[in-house]
Amino acid sequence: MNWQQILRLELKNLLTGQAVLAGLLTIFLAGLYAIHHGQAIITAQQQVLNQAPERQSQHLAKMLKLHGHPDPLNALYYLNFFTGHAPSDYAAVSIGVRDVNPYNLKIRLLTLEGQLYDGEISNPATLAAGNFDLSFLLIFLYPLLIIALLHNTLSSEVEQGIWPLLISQRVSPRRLIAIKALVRFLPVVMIWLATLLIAVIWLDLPLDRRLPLLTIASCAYLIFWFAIAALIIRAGRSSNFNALAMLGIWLVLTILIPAMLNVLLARLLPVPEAFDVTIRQREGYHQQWDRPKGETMERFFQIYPEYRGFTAPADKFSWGWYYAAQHLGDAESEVASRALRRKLDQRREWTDRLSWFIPTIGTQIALNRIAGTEFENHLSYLDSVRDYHERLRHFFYRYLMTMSPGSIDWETLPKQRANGEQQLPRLPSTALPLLLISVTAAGIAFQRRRY
Amino acid sequence: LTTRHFTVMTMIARHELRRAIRNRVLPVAVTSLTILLILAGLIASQTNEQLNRQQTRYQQDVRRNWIEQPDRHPHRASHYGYLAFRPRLSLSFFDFGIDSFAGNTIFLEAHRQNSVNFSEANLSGSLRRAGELSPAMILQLLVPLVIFFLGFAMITSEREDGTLQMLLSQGVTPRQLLLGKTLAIAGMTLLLTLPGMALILLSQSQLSGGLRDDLVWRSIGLVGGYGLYLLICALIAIIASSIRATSRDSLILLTICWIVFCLILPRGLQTLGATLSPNPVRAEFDARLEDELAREGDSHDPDDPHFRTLREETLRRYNVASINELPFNYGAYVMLEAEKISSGIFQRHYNELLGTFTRQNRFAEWATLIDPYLAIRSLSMAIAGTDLGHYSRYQQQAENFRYTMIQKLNRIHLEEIRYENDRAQRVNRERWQDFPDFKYEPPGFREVITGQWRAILSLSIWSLILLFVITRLRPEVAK
Repeated sequence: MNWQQILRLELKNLLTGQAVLAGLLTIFLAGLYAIHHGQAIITAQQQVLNQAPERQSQHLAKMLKLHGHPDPLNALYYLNFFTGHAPSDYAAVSIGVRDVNPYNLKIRLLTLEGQLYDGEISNPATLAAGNFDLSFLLIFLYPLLIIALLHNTLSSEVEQGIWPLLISQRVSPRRLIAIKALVRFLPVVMIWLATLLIAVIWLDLPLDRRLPLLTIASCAYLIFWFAIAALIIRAGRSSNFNALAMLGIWLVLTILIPAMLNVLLARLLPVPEAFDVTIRQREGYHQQWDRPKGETMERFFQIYPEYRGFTAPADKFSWGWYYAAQHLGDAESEVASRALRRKLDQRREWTDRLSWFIPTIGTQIALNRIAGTEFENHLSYLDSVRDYHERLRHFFYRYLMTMSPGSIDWETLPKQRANGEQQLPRLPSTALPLLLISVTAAGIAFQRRRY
Repeated sequence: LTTRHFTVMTMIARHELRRAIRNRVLPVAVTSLTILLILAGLIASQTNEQLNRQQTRYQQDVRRNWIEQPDRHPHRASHYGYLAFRPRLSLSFFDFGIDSFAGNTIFLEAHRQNSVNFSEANLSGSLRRAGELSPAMILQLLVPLVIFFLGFAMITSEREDGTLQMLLSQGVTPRQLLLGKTLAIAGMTLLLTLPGMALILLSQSQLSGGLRDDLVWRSIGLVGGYGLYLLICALIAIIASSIRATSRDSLILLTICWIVFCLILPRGLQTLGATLSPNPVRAEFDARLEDELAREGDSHDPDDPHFRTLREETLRRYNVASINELPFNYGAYVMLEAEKISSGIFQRHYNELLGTFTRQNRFAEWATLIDPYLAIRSLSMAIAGTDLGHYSRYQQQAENFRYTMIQKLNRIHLEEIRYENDRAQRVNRERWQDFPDFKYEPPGFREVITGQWRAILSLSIWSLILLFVITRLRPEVAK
C-alpha cells in the first residue's frame, strides 16, 4: 500500500464509524444552536438600541410638556439622555461581557459617577451559567471531540495487533501516524469551518479583516489541541492512558487554571475603589447644600473659569447653582474614580499577561477582541458616556449660567460619539503565542523517531 | 444482606483499594485533591472576608455620615439617602453561586429604586465567565470526573483480563461484586474529599467563632447533599463499567455523561430559558413604571388628576379654603402618598420581573430531576446562601428599608415642617439617630431547604434507582 491508499482507507474507516459521525453531527448541531443563541442575545440588544432615538424624542417632548413651563430648564432635572453601546457585527460570535454590562445607560445631568455604574436588569443565574455561543463551543467542546477522535490513533492498532502489519508497508511509521492523525483531525476542522461559514451567512457577517482573523485564531486553537493529542499519541501508551492524559490536560487548561486565576485575581486585586467612588460622589454633592452658595460656585469656577460671569443668588435656589453642585460630586470623586479605573486596567493587564501562557484564556480573549465584546470595549463605552455627559453639561451651562437664558435650541443638542470602535481590530496579541505554541508542538509531535 | 455478603463485598473493596494505592493512582489523586480543596477554600474565604471587611468599613462610613448630618430639611435627607451593602454569608466561601454576578451595593433614596451596582463581574474581564475555583466547584465538577477515571475500568478490566469469569465461578455473586466495587469507589471518594472538607469546615468554625445552630444544619445539609451526589457518580461509574464491553467504551460513555450533565445541559437550558422568556431591559422597565405612574398619579405632574382630587378632598375634609390653612404640611402629605403609589407600582413590576427570572430558570430547575449536577448545584448554592433567592431577599430588604426610611422622613416633614417657607426650615440633627442601620437578614435554613425539594427529590431518586439497578445488573463474562 502507498500512502494515498492508506489515506483513503483511513478516511473510509473513520467515516463509517457511527460514533464518529454522531460526534461530528452533535457538534455541528451544537454549532447551529450557538449561532442562534448569539444572534438572539445580540439582536435583542440591537433592537433596544434601535428604539433609543424614538424613546429619547418621546421622553423629551413629554418632559418638556410636563415640566417645561415657565422655564424649560425646569425640565432638565427630569431629563434622561439615552446612550448606546452598539454591538459590532461579529458580537454574536463571542458575546464576551456584553450581557454582564449595561449597553444602554441613560444619564441625567446630575453627578455622573453616581450613574455611570448603574447595572442593567439581568438574571444573575443566567449570567453565572454563561453563554452558549460559538466561542464556548470552540474553546470547551471542540477539544473534547478532538480527544475522542484522536486518543486511540496509534494505540488501537497496537491493541488490535494490526500495527506490525501496518509498519511493514512501504510508508514510514512517522508518516503513517501523521496521516492517521490528520484524517481524524481534518473532519473536525471542516465541521468548524462549515459552522463558521453558516455563521457568516446566517449572521450576515461583513467580509472584512475580522473573518480571516477569526479563522486564524480559531484554527490555531484547534491545531493546538491537535498538537497536544499528537504529542501524547507519540508516547505510544494505551488508549486508556491517552484518553485520561488528554482529558486531564483539557480539564486543567479549560476549567482548573482559568477558575483558579479568576479567584486569585479577585483576591489579589480587590476593587474597594468602587465603593469609595460611590460614597465620595454622594458626599461631594450633598455637602454643597450645607454651604453658602457662593462657596460652591467658587469651587465650580476653579474648574470652569469660563462661567465666572454667573452669580448664583445667595438666598434662593437656582438651577445654575444646582448643576454646579452636582458637578462637584464628580470633582470630589475624581481621584477615587481614576484609582478605580487604574485598578480595572491592572486586572485587565494581568489577565492579558496570563493569557500568553494559557491558550484557552488567550483564545477566549482573542475572539472577544475580534468581536469587540471584551472588557476594554465596555470601558471605552463608559468613556464615551463620560465625554457625552461633559458636552451635555457645557451645552446646558451656557443656558444655566447666564442671567437671561434664551430659548434652548434642542435641535443642536450634543450627540453621543462612539469611542474609537469604528476601527477594525488587529490580530489580537493574545492569539500570537497560541499560534507559536501550536505550530511548535505539532512540529515536535511529528519529529522523526523510532516506533 | 447477610454477614457473608458483607464480608465478600468488603474483601472486593479492600482489594480494589489496595490496588489503587499500590499503583499510586489513589495517593496522587488524594494528595492533589486535598491540596486543591484547601487552596480553594482558603482563597475563597479570604476573598470573602476581604470583601466583608471593606464593606463593613464603608457601611460604617455611611452610617457615620448619616448620623453626622447637620440640621437638614427632612426631604434633603431623603435625597441624601443611604447605601446598603450586600455582605457575604459565612458559608458563601464554599460555593460562589451567583454571588459574583450579583451587585454589591445599592443607593437608597426618595422617589426611585436604583439598581444594585458593582458585581464582581462588572469589574472584571471575560475571564470571570470561565468559572471560579471554590470547594463546591471541585466537588461538583472535578471529583465526579476523578471518580469516573478511577472506576471506568473496574469491571471491564476484570473482563478484559479474564478474571471476571474466575471471580464469578468462585461463587461471588454479581451483586456482591458490583456492590463491593461501589464500596471501593465510595471509600476512595471519602479519602479524596474528607480530609480537605474537614480542614476547611474546621478552619471556618474557628474563624466564625464556633458553629452556630443554623451553620450546623447548613453543614449537615451540604455533607448530605454532596454525599448523595458523589454516591450517584460512583454508581454511574460502576454501571457504565459493567454494561460496556471495553474499558475504552466505558470511559467514553462516562465522559459523555459528564459533558452532557455538567457542561451542556446547565448552559444550554439556562440560555434557552433566558431567550424564550426575555426580561425587559432597564430602559423598558423604567418606561413602564413611568407610564403606570402617569396613569395612577404622578405627584411631579402639576395637572395630575389623582393629586388634584386628593387636594380637593383634603381641603373639604378639613373644611379650609387653601392648603396653607391645613394643620399639617400638605407638601409632605403629597410626598407620602406619592411614595406609596410609586413604590407600590415598583413592587408589582419587580415581582413580575422576579416571575420572569423564575420562568427563565424553569428549564434548569425542572432539569434538576434528570441532571444530578444541576440538583447539587442548586442545593449547594441555596445552602451556602449564594442563590437567586438570597439575592432577591437582599434586594427586597433594601427596598423595604428604603421605603420605611423615606416615609419616616416624610412624616417628620409632615409634622415638623410648616408649609409656608417649607424649604428654608431644618430639623435638629439629633433626629438622624432615630434611623436604624441597614442589616441584611438571610432566610433561615428551614425556608431554604423547603425551596429545594426538587433537588433533594432528584438526588434521592437517582441514588435509589441506581442502587436498584446495580443490584439487578449481571455483567456479562465476555462481550
